Amino acid sequence: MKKANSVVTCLVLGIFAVTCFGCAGRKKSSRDDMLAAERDAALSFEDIALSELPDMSRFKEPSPALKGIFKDIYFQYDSSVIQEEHRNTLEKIASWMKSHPRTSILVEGHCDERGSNEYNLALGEQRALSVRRYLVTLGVSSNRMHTLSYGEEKPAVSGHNEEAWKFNRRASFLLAE
Amino acid sequence: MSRTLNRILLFTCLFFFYAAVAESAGVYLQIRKQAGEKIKIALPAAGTELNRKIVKTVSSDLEISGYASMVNQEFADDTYNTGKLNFTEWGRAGAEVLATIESVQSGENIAVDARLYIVAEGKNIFAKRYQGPSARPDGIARAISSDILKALTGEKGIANTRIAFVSNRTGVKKIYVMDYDGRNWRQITGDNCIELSPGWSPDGDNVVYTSYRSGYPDIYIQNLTSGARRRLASFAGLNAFGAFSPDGNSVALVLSKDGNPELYVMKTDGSSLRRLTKTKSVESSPGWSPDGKKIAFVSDRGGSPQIYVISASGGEFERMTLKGSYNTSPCWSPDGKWITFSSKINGRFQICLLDVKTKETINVSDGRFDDDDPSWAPNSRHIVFRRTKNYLSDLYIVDITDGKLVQITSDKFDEEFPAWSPK
Repeated sequence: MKKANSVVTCLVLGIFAVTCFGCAGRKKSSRDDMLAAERDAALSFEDIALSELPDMSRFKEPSPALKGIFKDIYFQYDSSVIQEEHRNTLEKIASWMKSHPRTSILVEGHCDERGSNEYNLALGEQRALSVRRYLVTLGVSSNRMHTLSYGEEKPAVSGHNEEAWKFNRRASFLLAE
Repeated sequence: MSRTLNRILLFTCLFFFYAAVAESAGVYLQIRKQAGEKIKIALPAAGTELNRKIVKTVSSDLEISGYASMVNQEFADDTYNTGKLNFTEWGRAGAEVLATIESVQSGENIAVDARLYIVAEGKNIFAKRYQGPSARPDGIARAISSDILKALTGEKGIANTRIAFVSNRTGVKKIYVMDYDGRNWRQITGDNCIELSPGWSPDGDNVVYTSYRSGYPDIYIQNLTSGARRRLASFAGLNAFGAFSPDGNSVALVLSKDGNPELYVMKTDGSSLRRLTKTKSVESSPGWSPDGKKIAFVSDRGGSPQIYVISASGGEFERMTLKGSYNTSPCWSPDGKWITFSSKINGRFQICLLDVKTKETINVSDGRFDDDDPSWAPNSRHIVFRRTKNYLSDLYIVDITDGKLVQITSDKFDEEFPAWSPK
């Protein structure tokens, strides 16, 4: 619980930081770094190493019944911060994972089409890792969770507007028994 | 003491004077080039269809090089054909240099003679015979272009260089290599999986890239001649953005195996993996300084993606981009002076140049379209980049000295991730 609280604090700080960057605009390159340093200090951010990857073919789409649990998690533009509205979904996933200890998941991270393809490939990975990290704080073992980024290469919805983009900035789930 | 010093100075001056004279004797353009002027070259199209094809390619190469402007190619065709070069006529047409290309085809081979004359003096300054299969006239044309530019400017230019890139023309994003002007595409693998982010080895023999061949993004190195490839990095998570060091011994890359995308360096044999960053932010797109001591890369540690530089042995980041909310895709110029990158300015992505010493930036794009993913030519004068119009991407090259633009791919598919070969 304490862990979860600190995660919430961090997320709030993160959102606060992002909001600040958003409104203040250009002047503050050095302040950006300062804020980032503060954010770094606020979060105790440790490596959570990824474990050996299972063969890709073992991962399947969740069954129709499980689709209701393993819902896509959506992100803000250029952000990998878990939004408050998705915490409930992640809590349900975590409790399902805890009652199904033999299942492992592959979290796929995606971006919308805007911006650098390369940067988006790394951002997609960070979104998947951010979901994984959140589930770790909810008590799911890290070695059951793998990540895969497609960057902007596999949009869920085609279209060149926010209606499409908001569904493409996502993390989705595959399961392996 | 002072007498000895004087002698040394005198000797040094004489030496440099001699070197300068020796240099300029064969290098007609040297002085004009420094003044930024273009040399006016006539290269008449004549002879067989094959010969005209070669002439066309060479003319285009000379034009794109930025050192030449081509004059009135149709003029005085007859004097050229008879072999009696009327220099007075060519001079009147505005030509300072006359180039001639003549070929003789025998069976499947072709022999091509290229010559250069200074029009004002009627003096021949270059003559060379080229031979090769007539099925590949571009190979001969590129060699002629390189030699002509070398004779005129002292540098062989970019006519023989290539660009590696990604296209989705088959429906899947695949890596191709083509001539620098967009011709002669060659797909490098027969796989049916996504391939991204190609980069060159310094000798131009190998391409490093990311492929989803195993289902996961891994880094491969592939020899372009033999096609032989090996998997360099296949750690859990992301393996991407492989970039060869200038000495060819190391590769910078981004791995997420420790739980976050971070910058690493490893030997090209896969050994000696070293982690350079430890952040909670996204790191991507490493590119080496030409001396191999530093690496430019993207990090959003400050809340938005910006260009940073780190020592190749690790340590502190130095932030290079001081304005803008989205700066990505750094590429260090081979002469070390510039880092080109793309920056979101007034809602459009634009190619910018960052002066490494002063951190001042210059816009190369005009802001009418979205331009990103820049990569330097080995001459530190041209940049290839991706331009997106109406959500369709093509590749362009730009001469940064005069902003001259050449569109090198044009189709209804997306071309992206351009990487200019180092030689």
